[in-house]
Amino acid sequence: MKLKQGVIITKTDDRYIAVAAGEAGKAFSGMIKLNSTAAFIIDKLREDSTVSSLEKALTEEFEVSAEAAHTNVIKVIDSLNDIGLIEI
Amino acid sequence: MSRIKKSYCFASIPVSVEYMYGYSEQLFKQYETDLLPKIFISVCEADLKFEDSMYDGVFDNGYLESLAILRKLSTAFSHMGILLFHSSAILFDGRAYLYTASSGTGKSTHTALCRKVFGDRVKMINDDKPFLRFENGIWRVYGSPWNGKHGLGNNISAPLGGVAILKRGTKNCMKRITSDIALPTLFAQSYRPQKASDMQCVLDLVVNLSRNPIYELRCDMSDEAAELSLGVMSKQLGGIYNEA
Repeated sequence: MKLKQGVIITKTDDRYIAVAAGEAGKAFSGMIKLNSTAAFIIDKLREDSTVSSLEKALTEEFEVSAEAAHTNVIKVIDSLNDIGLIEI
Repeated sequence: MSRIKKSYCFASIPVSVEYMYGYSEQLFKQYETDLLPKIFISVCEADLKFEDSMYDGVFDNGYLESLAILRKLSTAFSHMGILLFHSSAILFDGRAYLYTASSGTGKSTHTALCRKVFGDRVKMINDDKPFLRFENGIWRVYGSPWNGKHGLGNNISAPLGGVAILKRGTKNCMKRITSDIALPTLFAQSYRPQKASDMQCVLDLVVNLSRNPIYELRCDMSDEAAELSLGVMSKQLGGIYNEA
């Protein structure tokens, strides 16, 4: 699975936010507020990924357990899927 | 069809615009300039077709052309620190105050109240789509020809004093909100281009804009609502102010 083209992430004073333009913008016109873990996962999804490749990347970058990584990855993918930003 | 090519000064930037219809020529009249243009905009039939598809065929070509020009201008401006921001903008005691909300909430009604209550102390900058420009560390609000269905606006500018996110209420209250809370509304009321590279510029401008004093205003249509909003914003007060 992969993120649709056109998702933009930027850092604010408090957190990360994401909005959509281009192909992704046709599906979603709002703004998503993210913590650093979610921003990292979304950024990784720009390349074709699997749940396990994302979990692996997350545990390498952050100090999280395999279990917490799995929960985070599933949560982010589900949220992105709900707003139509994932292509299979 | 003969083409019109003229230079205009929008948000202090000289712009050459090439177009076809008299509607825009009339609309832009008070923005004409002799200055050497820095950017060049040209619209063609395909641009009008695109606008037509966005608005389901309800507008005539002249009006559609003015929208096409605005789209191209706002896209170019996003790379120059200028944001098109959907709001009713007024000048009060030397500063610009913006009232923003989705269409139909009562932005224009509220700024009309401000004019009624404060008289000549309030001057209309733009009733619908002012340009906001970030330059030398401050935001400045500029009038534009795209000034809403009542044609209220002037070719003037002023430093930004505050932004009120307007919501309808049964009593009048106003509070300062954090940039984090303000961001989604500020983004929703900003011009949003389709290309990711343009959108990146807009998003960065919106994040920057959110660092200004932003308020949430819940109000009815009484004179007190205008007294409250301009009173709080011009004194840069925080907290919750409730006239009840």
